[in-house]
Amino acid sequence: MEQQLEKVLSEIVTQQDTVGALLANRQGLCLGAKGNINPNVSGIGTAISEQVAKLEPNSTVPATVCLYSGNKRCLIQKDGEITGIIYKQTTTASTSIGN
Amino acid sequence: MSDDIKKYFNGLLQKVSGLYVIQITDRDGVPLLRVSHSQEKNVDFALMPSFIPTFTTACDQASKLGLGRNKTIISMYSNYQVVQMNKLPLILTFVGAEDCNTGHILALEHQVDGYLEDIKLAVTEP
Amino acid sequence: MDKDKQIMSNQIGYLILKDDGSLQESGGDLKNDERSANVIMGLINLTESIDDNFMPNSSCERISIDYEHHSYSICMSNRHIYIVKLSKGHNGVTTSSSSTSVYNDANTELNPSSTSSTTVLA
Repeated sequence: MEQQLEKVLSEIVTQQDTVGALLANRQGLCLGAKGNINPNVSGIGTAISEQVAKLEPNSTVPATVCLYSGNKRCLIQKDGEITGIIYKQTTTASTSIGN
Repeated sequence: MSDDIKKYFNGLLQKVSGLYVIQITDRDGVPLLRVSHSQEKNVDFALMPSFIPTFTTACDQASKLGLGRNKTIISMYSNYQVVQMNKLPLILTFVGAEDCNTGHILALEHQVDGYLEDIKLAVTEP
Repeated sequence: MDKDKQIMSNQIGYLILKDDGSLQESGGDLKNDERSANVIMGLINLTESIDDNFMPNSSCERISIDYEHHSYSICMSNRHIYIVKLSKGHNGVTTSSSSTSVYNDANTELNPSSTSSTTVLA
């Protein structure tokens, strides 16, 4: 049933610098997680995406939120019912920015 | 110190949108701490004499399923959701709207543990 | 918009809030936009504790919110919260590195007391 979901998550975590990825539903419950990410983050991640959705309620395209802390990044995007959360960590400690 | 704890739980209540009440009771339903949105829905049912003992019983029964000790029971209703956590000797009860962020409530569990220790001490002291 | 607060050519609005959420300065698209300010304060409160194992609590120094044609960049510094709304140029996107440089500039411009752009990034 969740094979498609697992497949997408596996694809995401193989990307460069990606530490972990997680998908959550509207209730903030974790649908699936791959890599080094705590499934409990689904709740706060969904809360953040819902809060950001209030910023421009008329926007048709979902916003992407990115939290920066040192060489770590946390990306959050909500699309309809689903919220995706990705943890990224750049290996070069010299700069906090990297793509 | 009690003010400190109350302030902290009030902060949690503000953080989770759609959450009406957080209450801490003992296993018989004796209220120890309760924070709520005064202007929000009337959720006094959570303090009814039968409410907490029913959870305690359900929790004890669920522990007999052979899956280990039951930790949390989430109950969904058409207008409410109730999340109850077994933190014996304490029972932690969250009441929110039906579309409230359940995952966020569950994530609060490990955050509040430190504060619960203080209350536990107060309960178990002779 | 106040000319002196125009730091980047693609800037279309800015907000400066105190750490309690009160509006201190604003301009452009976000002029007196208390609603957006409240939403962003709510967002900052949520970001305080995400995952202690990945990011220590309250260690988040910058937040960006990306839309198709514009983006927001939010920075916490010196007990103030700086928010800029940027439009995306015709030739591409506002990359994360360019918006960082905006912030370094912004902080030095807006806080005359700041001596260097690196010290103001909390």
